[in-house]
Amino acid sequence: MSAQKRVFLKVVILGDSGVGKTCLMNQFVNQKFSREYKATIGADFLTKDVVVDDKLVTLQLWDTAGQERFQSLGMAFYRGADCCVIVYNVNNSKSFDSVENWRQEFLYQTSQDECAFPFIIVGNQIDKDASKRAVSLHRALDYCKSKHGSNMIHFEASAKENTNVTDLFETVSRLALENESSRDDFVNDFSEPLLLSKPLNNTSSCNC
Amino acid sequence: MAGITEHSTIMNDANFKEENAHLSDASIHFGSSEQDKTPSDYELDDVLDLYNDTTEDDADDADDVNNYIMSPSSSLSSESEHALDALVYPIYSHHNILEHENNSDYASITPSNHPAFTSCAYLQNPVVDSNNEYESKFRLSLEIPPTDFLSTSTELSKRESCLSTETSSSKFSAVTAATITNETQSEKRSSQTDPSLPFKTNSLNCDVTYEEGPLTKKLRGPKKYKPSHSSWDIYGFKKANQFYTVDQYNTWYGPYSRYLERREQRWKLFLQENGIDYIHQSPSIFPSRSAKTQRFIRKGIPPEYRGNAWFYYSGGYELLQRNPKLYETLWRCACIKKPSDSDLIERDLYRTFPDNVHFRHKSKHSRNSSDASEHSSEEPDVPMISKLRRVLMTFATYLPENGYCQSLNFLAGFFLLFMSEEKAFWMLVITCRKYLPKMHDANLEGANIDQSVLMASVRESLPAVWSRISLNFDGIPVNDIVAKLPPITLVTAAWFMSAFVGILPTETALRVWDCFFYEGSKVLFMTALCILRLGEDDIKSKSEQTEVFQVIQDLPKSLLDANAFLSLCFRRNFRRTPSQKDIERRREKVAKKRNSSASKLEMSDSSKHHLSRSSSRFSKSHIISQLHNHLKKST
Repeated sequence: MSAQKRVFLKVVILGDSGVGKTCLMNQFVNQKFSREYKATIGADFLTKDVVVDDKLVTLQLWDTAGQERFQSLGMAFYRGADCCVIVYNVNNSKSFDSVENWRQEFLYQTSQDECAFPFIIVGNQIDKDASKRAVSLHRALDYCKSKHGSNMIHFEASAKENTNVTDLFETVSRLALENESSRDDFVNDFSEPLLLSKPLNNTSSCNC
Repeated sequence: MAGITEHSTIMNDANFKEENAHLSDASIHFGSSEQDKTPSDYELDDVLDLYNDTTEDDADDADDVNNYIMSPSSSLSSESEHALDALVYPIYSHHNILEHENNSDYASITPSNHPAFTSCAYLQNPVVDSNNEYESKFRLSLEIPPTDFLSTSTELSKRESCLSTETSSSKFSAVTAATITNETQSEKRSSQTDPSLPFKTNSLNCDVTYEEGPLTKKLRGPKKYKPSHSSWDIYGFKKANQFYTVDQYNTWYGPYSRYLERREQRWKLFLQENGIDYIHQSPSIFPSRSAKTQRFIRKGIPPEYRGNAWFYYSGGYELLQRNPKLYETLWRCACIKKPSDSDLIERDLYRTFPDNVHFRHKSKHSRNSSDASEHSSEEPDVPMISKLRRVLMTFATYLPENGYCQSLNFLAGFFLLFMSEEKAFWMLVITCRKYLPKMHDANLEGANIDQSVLMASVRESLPAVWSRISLNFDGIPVNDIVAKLPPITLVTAAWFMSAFVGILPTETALRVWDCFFYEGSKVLFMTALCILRLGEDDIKSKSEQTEVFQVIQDLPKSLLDANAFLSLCFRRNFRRTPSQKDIERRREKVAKKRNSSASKLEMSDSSKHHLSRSSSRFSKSHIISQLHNHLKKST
């Protein structure tokens, strides 16, 4: 990939329904918070140009539906992602429990190397009253530490009050860019992308 | 290359040169993939060839519609028909559920003679009859035991009678049933002490309402279409959004309001011609199917009649008559045993139409609380939210194996604006059973099928668009659209699942719905193709896949001019979409193909890992992609 070419980085945002994925994404892209978002069906998609270490990159942000069954729609959806953001609601313990499921699902679908692939874990809605807190920062950090050697970074954020949102996506961009360049090396091993497709086609056809 | 020859016959002369140049481009693109195809791919292409039928006649279409949608006209609002139904479908047949009813928990909820329960019992009885194949198929589908709870109560009653009868449909052993009942009871107990529960499970008072939708009433008076300077449209939605301003909306709406007036006058004459009273009440019967009716529908149903017309033409009155009080009964069941998706439903209530006055809290400042759960605990829900909750909870109870699927909230919300909650419930049932079968199922099978059918249509009729959207994320063209859908289907699947609610501007979506419930699901395909056709030039001009996605995602949202859009959808030389029968046929073929490829892949894949994981997550598609990865590594 030449240096002049515009770099597209694909970022997938996962997490349970209602944790605030759409809000986070819109806060980052449009700098606004609204309570009026509708439930996301399938996937929504936004782009934003950012500068990472003096390099202009375009982030493609894929905001997904939180309901589990929507995964049967997007079989190839996670593929080609450069970074994965998993969001939970700090006031909802169940949404935190799901984080590991989402991570496993992503790794499984993309056949990624668990250690290398960058994940950003985000506890959203920290603007709420402290009494509502169900997942402590300590617990979240413990979880991230427990995955030895994995590339996981944890943030707590508030899409509503725009706390940590910029930092968070800056990290996302940086990790995605790093991952993208390493992925490029891999792709370069196969200079003819079609070579990859041929056995695939044969397999899917002859098995049908 | 059949598709390309076909395509050239439909091209306008003026565009021929340009399009042809593009086509050769496309054919190079497809040329390489063509070689990779196996016979089974060709067979499928043939199956999915949308243009084998060249019939474009309106009359033909009308016939087709008649075959597809069960005609409700004969049995509607007719006392004698209803009486006949009672004879033909005796409620107390097969299993003597009612005899044991007093022994079950159910007795405490519903008095033994309550008609609500008899209608539930009716649902458990097989009904075999009808000359109309479609109708009987549809009715049979209603025999699925509607709730865990009902099966439980059936089982319980049988246990009490020494397990003398066996039902094929029963899912639970007596022991399980007892456990479940215990759970139910403990849930009941806990609910009395837990105020945070979304609805009062200990309340046996049925708060189901039977009032019409707010818009049916509101849009009955004079001057209802008059343009206003308010920031809300006549349906209560916000006029402006990120795609157009209030001024732009008003500019369009001014002339359109006169169109609405004119159409209403025409409709009144039309109803009158057919001897339908519209003066004393909102009509609940409508002119029978004909080319003229279709024309009237395509030009838009007056909002005042809309709810009833949808209900009438989709066969709702018939279902309602056959299952009186079922809605209320199921809601009671839902109160006792919450459907498993109740949390999800609660979260979506305020995320359905936050931009509609009927779905918002009256007092603005109270909206300071920041999420749905807080809304419900701080102040009572507005009536529409309560209705939406009841309809969705009831629906999830009615089909427990599928439960609630996000996007049903949008459908239900639209229904509720125009009709009573009971009718909205039945419309939801009809939509999921008949118009969009399996689309909202636990594995979204129907959604996947329809996307394959749609992609085949795009490949045939819009090759230029197809060449841009057919690459997967690895930049490789997707050949077998059944085994592997192109990524854009993540966006287009949402169009179908929500039937364009929230995708098209309100008026445009309503106009599409008018046709949808009259003509069938082909209307959604026509709408989708029309949108892509409109964006064709824009799509062609984009070099990056990302930009193409953005165009396709945003395009429908700005299609404010409903008249222009609808007439484009149905324009003759533009109507390269299949008939409803073709859609049904293709859905079947794709479904078969999906099944067979899945079973073969599962066999070949069974030695591999992961099969022990939860089945809903591990559909065929997972296995296929897994296989691809495996191959990629071994290359």
